[in-house]
Amino acid sequence: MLELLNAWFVAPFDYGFMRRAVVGGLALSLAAPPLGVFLVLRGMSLIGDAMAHAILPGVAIGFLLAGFSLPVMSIGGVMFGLMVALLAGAVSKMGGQREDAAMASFFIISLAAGVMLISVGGSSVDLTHVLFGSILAVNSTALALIAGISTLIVIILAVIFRALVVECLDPLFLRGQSRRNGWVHSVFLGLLVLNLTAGFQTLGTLMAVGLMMLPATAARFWSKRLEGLMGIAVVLAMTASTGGLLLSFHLDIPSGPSIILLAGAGYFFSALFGRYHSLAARLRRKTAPLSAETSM
Amino acid sequence: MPLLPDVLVGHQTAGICGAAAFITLGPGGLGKRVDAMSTRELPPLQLENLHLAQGHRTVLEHVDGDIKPGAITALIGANGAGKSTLIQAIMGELRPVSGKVTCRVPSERRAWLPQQLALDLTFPMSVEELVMTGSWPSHGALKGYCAAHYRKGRDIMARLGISHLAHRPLGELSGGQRQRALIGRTLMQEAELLLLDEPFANVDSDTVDILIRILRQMADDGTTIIVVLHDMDHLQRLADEVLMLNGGHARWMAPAALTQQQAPAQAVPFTLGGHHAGIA
Repeated sequence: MLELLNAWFVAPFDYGFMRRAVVGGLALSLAAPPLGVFLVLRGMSLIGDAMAHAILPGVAIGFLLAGFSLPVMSIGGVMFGLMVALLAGAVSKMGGQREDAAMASFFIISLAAGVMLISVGGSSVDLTHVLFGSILAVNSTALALIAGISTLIVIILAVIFRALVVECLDPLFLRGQSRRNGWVHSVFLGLLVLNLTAGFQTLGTLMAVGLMMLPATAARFWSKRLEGLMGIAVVLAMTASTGGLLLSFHLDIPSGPSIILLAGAGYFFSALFGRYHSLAARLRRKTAPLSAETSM
Repeated sequence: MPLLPDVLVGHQTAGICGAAAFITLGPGGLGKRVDAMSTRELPPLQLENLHLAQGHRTVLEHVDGDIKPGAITALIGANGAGKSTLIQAIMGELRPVSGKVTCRVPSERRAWLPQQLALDLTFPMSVEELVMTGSWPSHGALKGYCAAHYRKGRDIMARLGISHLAHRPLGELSGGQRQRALIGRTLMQEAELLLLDEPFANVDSDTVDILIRILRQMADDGTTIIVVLHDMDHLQRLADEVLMLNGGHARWMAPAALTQQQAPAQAVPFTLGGHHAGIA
């Protein structure tokens, strides 16, 4: 028994690339889910997806300039992602279009541009690598970058947390406080882009958003409190990323999809058996008598 | 413009005493922070020859007035008379075409409860947490709460009669309970300028009684309150001054004058519109 446990859960980490991958995954799992929780709460769940596509041309340009260098590709991705976010914001400010419509237009252009750039400058293997990630490529530079970005995100999130909560809850209250509070939204989008660029190495540009959204949407079935949502989402993400890596190692399947599919399994489980709004909760729900209400 | 010299005195003494900051809003003066020697002698809010427009349509012209500290001013007028436009201008959301709004209340002490709430009721937050957010603007980004803050929050909820709802999620509140919680937030904020847009619409009469009492207490403690009202009964119980908007112009009057005018109003209909038949 002990031997089996050892073979399944400990032995894989004898390999350096597995150790780096799991540390990178855990770092991402700490930073991404809180961002996802805010996206879900603001009704912007698909914006994460859009931003994930938006970084692709930047990553591709970085790849064409410097090959598979995570720092260069990340810088390209961040710059392009921010540019798309700003452009989408500017187009929607021009009037006529809502921000999500502008974002939808930009992200699909970005995806096409990114795929075009990589296909012209590299091979289909490179394209697969950028789109779907590769665990083997996480070297110590990449790991330092992922950990650094995750740390930065958590710190900035802590600083803007109250403003962000008020902006989600009651934007008018925030605007009433100060004319300068428009930055909260921009900083938040910036964090999103940063997080996606950190994630694409292990998960790929298209799936990096999965570690952000799935734990957050699954957590909605377990908690009605903000702290609870974030805590549960982080735990789910950590479990999914570690478990997914192990699965990918033992079953010889690609790492990104197995992490995201494991998180997806967590989502389905939550939707079926979670505490609130799940199928099981719906079945067992009975109207509480008045006496129960007063004791709350 | 007899009021301008006072403002200039404020400018000249800047930085000597630094008792409080005030913000000048208006063309060219947006967001300028100046220290006043003593804000207590100056009205917290001054409107000077204000000309307001939505797009290219003039809504209000020649609006003047000093709003006294601790006074409750009722803003009345038919729908479309410009009440919300004036409030937007006071909050600095709308730039005046000409004229000036001088607001000497620092932004973290200003509160605005619009009629169309931007509040997201699905947000996972309890009544107590909502009340506590009132202290965030002055509390900074990272500082935690101490027991005294929580005690203050609980006192406020007790005053508003919502202690038993402290841990209830926002989405499960009735209109009246929600309004009490939002007033609780402004109390937590220690608002010095409070703008309310029809606070008693869709609110039960118990809540109206409590809110009128609380608003009066706030005014006695020095909060300047501007409230859009439609109901004559509420106006008589609450207002110290009345600013009536009609035909693009504003007129100051005493509540008593309005009721006298109202008394023989059966003969001459004195329509102010609104959802309630109170004034109409």
